[in-house]
Amino acid sequence: MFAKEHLSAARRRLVSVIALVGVVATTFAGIPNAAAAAEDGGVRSLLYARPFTLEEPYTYVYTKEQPEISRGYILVLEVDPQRAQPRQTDMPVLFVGSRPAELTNRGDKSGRIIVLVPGDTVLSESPLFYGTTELPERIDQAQAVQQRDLALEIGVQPRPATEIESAFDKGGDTLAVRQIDDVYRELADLIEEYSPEESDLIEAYRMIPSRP
Amino acid sequence: MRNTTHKSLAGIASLVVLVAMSSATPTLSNPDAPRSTRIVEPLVVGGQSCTIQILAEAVVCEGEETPFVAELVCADGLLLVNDPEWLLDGEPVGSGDQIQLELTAGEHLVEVSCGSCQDQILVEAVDCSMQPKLDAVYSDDQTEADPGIFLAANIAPVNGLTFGHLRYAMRPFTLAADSSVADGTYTLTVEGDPILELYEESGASISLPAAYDRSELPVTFLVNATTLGEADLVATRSENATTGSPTEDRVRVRVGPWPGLSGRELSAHPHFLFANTFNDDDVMTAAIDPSRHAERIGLTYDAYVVAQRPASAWALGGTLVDVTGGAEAMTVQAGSIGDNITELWSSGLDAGDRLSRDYAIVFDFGQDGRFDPGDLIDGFSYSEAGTHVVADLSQPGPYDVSVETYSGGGFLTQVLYYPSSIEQLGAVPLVVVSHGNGHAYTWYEYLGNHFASHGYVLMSHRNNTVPGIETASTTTLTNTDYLLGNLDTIAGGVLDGHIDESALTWIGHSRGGEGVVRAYDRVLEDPGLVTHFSAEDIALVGSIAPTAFLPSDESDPHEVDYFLIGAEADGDVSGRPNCTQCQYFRLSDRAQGKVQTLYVHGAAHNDFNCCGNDDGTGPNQIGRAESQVIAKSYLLALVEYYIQGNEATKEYFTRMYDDLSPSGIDASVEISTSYRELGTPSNLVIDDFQSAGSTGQSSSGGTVTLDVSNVFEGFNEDNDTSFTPTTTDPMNGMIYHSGQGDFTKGLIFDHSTDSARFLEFEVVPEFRDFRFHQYLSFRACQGTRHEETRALNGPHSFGVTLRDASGQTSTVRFGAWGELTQLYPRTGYGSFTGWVNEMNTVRIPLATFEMDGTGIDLSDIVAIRFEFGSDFGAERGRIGIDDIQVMKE
Repeated sequence: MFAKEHLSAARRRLVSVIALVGVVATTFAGIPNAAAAAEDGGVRSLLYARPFTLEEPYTYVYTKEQPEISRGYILVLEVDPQRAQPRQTDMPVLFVGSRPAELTNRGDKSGRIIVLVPGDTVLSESPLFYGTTELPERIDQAQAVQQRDLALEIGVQPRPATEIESAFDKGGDTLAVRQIDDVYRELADLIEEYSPEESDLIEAYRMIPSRP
Repeated sequence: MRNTTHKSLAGIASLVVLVAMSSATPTLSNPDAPRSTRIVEPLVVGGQSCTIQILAEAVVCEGEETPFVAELVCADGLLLVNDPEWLLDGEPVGSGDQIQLELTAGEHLVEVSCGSCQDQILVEAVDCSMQPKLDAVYSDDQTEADPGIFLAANIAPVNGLTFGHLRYAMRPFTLAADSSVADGTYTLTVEGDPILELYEESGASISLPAAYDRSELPVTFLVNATTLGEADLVATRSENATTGSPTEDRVRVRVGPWPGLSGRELSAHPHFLFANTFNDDDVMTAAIDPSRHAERIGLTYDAYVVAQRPASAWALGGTLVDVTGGAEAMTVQAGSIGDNITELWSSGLDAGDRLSRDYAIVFDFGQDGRFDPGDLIDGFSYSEAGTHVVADLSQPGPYDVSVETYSGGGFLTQVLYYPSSIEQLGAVPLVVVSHGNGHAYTWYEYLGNHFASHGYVLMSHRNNTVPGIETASTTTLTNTDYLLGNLDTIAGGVLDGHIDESALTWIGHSRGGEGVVRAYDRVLEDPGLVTHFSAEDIALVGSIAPTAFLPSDESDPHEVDYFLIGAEADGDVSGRPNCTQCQYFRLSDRAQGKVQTLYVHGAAHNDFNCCGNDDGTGPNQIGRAESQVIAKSYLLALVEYYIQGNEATKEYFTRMYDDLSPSGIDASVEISTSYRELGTPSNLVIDDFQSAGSTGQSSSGGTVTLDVSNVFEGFNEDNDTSFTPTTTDPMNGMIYHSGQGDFTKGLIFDHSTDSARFLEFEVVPEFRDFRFHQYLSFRACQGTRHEETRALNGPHSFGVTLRDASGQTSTVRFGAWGELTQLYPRTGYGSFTGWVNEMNTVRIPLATFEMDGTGIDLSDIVAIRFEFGSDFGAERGRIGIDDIQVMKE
């Protein structure tokens, strides 16, 4: 279970964030150079944050290591719609710190992206940014850390503490459920609220059956 | 019905009149015997002249009508004012291009005159009563001797069970004796290749040599050809012949490839292209080549289009029922096949209740309303029709459609389209659609409704494309497995027992297009990934505008039959030179099965779904509606052929787009199509450029000679990030190979306007017999933005010449029916205009090289020569070429 105390600790840590400002973008070995080119990293604000916990871990396929995840965050980000435009190639990966985030909607029209990130992410220390155009499933932890560091170097900072606080307030209590499908089903309401034109996805998430 | 005529010679106008002789007339003497022929001073008019020559045998039978033919050749522009006048032994006997004379025993002088041109011949008339009379039905003595009659090899071995229908592919013969002869023994033998069998009409086999007493004659029997070759059927009578009297008659039988009758009329040489598929808004035509069937020249036949039936069904009776409104009588004309094209069905071709209907074409030489042995048929087969009529493939089929959406959790979310009456159907094929990144599983409703209305089940599923290709492939696998594992509950179990689980098709779009390839690769290598199907059950994989992220050992179609649609105005997976994952043709060039590609000018990436953003880039965009007409037409054609075995739709992939395209597609649309078979062992691969990486030697080991310019052989790879042509990037515009383990190689060169150029491939001895194959095939493209391409500024074509061991050549200019597409005029990524090099497959029926009596010997082809320049097609250009092979089917 992701306890309330952990959440409080996370909130405290974000207050001590040191912003890294840099202007250098270098090329990753094996990863196309696509570190965020703007200081906001393409992410304009964090609108919503809610922790979730799972009784049955699920495989997080957005990194090469594919860890088993039993806790994480549901985040709603306001982003540059241009960056969110789904593409087949040259699609920048949305990072939360050193984790490629799991996108659960398109968000190109609304500018709101609902993502899942593993629970070991420290939001107060994590810049939110669009990075490399490499496929998330091929990005390993070292490369992801490198992406985060690059973002920090060019001036992408973690979201302000007040914004994170507000987002958690909006998200409310930890969603404690049995399996990831229960989280996905919850996403329908969030997409309806933040990106309502994505009716096909809303329907798809609502259709996911709950299992005993 | 009508006959169409072509003037075949531009220079010397040739008037050659051949005579159709009575089949009862015996053949006399050695045709090679010396003739007494004198060419007299020709008529000269304004510096131009005529000559005349008698065509006849030097020894003929006394008392029998014998034909004499005058061959008059005049310089262009001269007209024959008076008919040639004939003299026999100095006495006038008539006029005309030909004359029948009945000669008494002894020597005679036959003369002919056109005025100032004359010829004469000494003819000896002899007693022929002792000569056997061996004749094939629908033939004449002169042709029986040389060049012989044509017979197609039968389709199966003959036995007691099959004779009843296989006899329809045999040729009736008669052996008779002169009525004045009362006795003697007549013997039948075969000389030459062991290719002929003889049967009595009852089906009893005739052992050779076969001897008949005079009292048994006349006797009629059937000649069956078992395989290709040439043989003489010889009848002899040895007793009591007077000196000088012939005692033998023989018929040469040429058993060669049979291209059928149906095809398309062309406006230029070779005048006719043998083909089987017609759209229902086409005109159905057929043709008989008078050089192949020389023995039938002058004979009249009734041309029928009849419902196709299996060969075995003809045993029940040969009554012909024409479906076009009535058969009409035609006559086989001497000269060109272009003079023998018949319009069989001019409008309203019937494609039947579904999307195609099969027909056979019969030329009824007996003119008795029956198909009998000796008639010609296109469509005598156990499985393949003679010709097909195909409806507009973009139109809905006859079935109402039901739709069901459901979820098994997470990405196991699917929408199902199926015929509402599926409970009344058997097991139907399943098509699975895997969408692209940022797309939705509900965006392919147009394909779902289309396939279901034609009797298929289509399932489109949520596809986990954002992480990448591996995850997309996983959801293709898991969704397919989920559906097949839950047929008893999904949609109330209505599909249970109604899906053919051994004939699955995967179609993916963009990342999903690569995902289905990766899924196939994975399940092939690790069958344990799924429970309810295996790689063997995946019969077809198709990609629409796919990405190419993964290396060749991960995204590999292997030997599965594969299809790819590329969109030339794609603003995302664009094929551009600086983006390896955009170079989709790498996927199709990795495939080792039967591979077809479609490259659509003006189509954008998301034109192939309902709702993706408009990323179209480039001129002349065709829009979503037209792109989906293309997708519906070709994807249905594809599944019909590969899954249902419907031969009717195969030619949409094997013929050039200019030559045949689905009828629903707007005439303004430009598409390049390619088709190749790498994994068909029976094909003769002349050069695939994969080995012997020298321009002087082919992969099959033959010598390559050429005088084209700027030749480069190597990887089909644009090696820089620009489409601007440079000398350091000879394969500019080729996106078929780009590292990551790809292997495709080819040849590229150019030719300018200075003179004709060539590229010649020696055919190695073990490949030289082409008779058992049907097509010469290669794929070729223009080189983008090259100065010669820019100067041409249009489509390109060239000539293909075969040369046999005797030096005889035959040239076909494929531009008569299709051309290498002008490259899509998109700009960017360098200077000038033009996009990816578009491969077009050119398949030339080998029968085309034989047409009009070229004399080419397909049993011994020593060279294939590609010829460039204005005499052969385009005057200049930059050309890439690959996969030159002689194909079985």
